[in-house]
Amino acid sequence: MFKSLFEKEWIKLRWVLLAYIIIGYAAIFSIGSDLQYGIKMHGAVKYWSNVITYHTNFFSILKYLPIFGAITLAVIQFVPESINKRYRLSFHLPMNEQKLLIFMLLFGIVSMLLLDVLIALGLFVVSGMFFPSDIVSISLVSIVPWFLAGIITYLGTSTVVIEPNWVQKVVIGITTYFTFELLMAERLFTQYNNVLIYYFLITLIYGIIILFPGHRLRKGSK
Amino acid sequence: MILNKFARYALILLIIIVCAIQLPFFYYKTVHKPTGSPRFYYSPIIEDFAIMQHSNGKMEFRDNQGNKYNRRSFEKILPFQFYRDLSKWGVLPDTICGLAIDASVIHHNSTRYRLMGKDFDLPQIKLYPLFESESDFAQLQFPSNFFRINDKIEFITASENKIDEELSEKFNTALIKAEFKFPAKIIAGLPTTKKPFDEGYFIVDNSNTVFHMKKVKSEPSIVKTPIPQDLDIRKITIQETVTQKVYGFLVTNKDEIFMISYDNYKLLPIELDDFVADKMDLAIGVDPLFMNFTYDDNYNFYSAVYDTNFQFIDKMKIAMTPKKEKITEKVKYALFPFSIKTSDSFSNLKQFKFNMHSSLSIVGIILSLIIGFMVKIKRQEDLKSSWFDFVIIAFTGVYGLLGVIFIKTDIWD
Repeated sequence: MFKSLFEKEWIKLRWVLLAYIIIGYAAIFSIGSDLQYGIKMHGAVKYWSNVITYHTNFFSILKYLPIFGAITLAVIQFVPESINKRYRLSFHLPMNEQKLLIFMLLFGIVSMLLLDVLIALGLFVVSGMFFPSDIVSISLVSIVPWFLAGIITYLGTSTVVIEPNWVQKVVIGITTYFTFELLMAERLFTQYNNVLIYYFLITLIYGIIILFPGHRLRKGSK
Repeated sequence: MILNKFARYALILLIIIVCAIQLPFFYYKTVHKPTGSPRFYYSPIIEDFAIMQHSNGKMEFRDNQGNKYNRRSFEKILPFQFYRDLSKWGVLPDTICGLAIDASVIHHNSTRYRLMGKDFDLPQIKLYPLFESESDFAQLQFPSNFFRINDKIEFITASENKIDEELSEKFNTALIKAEFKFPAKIIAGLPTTKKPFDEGYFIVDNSNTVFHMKKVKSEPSIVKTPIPQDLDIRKITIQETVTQKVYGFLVTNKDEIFMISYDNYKLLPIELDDFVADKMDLAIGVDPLFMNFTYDDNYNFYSAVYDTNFQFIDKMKIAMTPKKEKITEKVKYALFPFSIKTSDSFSNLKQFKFNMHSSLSIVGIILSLIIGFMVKIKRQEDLKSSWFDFVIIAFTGVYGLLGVIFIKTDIWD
């Protein structure tokens, strides 16, 4: 059963996942190219100094990638389920709807995390070509809030798509926006290190909320 | 079924968290007015404090005795601060307190230091440029490498992203010879070329000894300073200024503050009432005769004046209306039972701080319970089965009310 579901999700999402990683690596390539050009034009000392003293973020192009990726992923994965309440067809499967929804979400989260790790690896390699380990490690730590915001956005958007009631869709959408937006307000590297644990716990809470609209769909609530 | 019910409460919890962060902040932005923070000066003419403060939309100028001034007469009693205007008007005195002055003397004997509360947790990339302190050129130039100190000192050449083994070895040997114990606990310097000269770095080693490290004619200059090891140093701030009286200042974990003198690193203690280093912003204005330490926590504003020999002269304090006593704050406490702060004006780090408000919150909670009850009656919901919704409102007030109203309960069986 799980194998069939896995295949179904894979067929549905493989192109969007491929697009995510291609755009991710295009961004990494752009970071490398900007670094090479900037260092050639202004000198490595000036470039390093700006990063060290003013926390100039040379990888900011990656900032909204997880957000856009998450929204696209959630829409492509769950809109087909919500059109004409097609999701209700799955109630005839020999699996309860909670397990089904959690499996779908896990598929999305694990896919996003794997791709995020690959993108972080790309950043590690590219920044390591121009900067010492002190800057590379801080860069990697500084993208964690953006990836976490991506997971929150994926979970929130999935819930918005599944939710049958428009008022509740809007409320969940606003709540999701104001949550991920909290993780996008960095001015300095590693500013979020002390609070990441709280946002991780919030992400866990987001992990369960989709069960409520799922239940409402099954019951035919409006 | 339990999981589905739990999912609804999880959704309500998220709404409560987001509301507790955003609504008090939105309220603050809507009702907040500038506090009219006073600016203190010490006048050598009237030998008393002169205060400039925004009040009722206009700037007020007065002295500590309550005498009011217009802007021009106010500037005249503060020749060290407004000497450019006074020169332009041709009224800059030739001597003040027996000291012969002109614009140039004032300019070369005046400076300003700042120590912000948020400097204490500033995230740092621990790589530092070590400037040539005795360059043949007038303008400081950035070195080609940056140093870091872990179990040894390493200089990394930026253009190659590689360790400069020769320079690293040279400084490593010099540090070991000076009895430096790796790693460093504090590395303090001013990494900019926009300063008149370079004094290198003050480094606290692993045994709490303070070293002064410079690069002089490409060679290491390491001085083991006599600064006591038992000071429990929290921060050192170095700022090279033309006055060349002090290197900068040193703050301990007991909020004691010392200036580090050019006279063999002698520490000059500065007594500042109620000073809490990481919860206040401190500015030190130095002029040819006085050093004015002004500091505040946004509500209490202090000034302490010393002469240039670090002898205490005078001090004063202005207390604004405490935050808790402001009407707008009281309304906030009544509306919102608690708030979650994600930033702090005295910190560079993101926060996630839960703040309980006062007992006034009971007003908002009772109102929220009544509204919640009425909404549920109107929706013809079963009050008995949604008792936990009222518990949520009772603990979270308007935040819980919004969650419960928008995320309607459902048929669970």
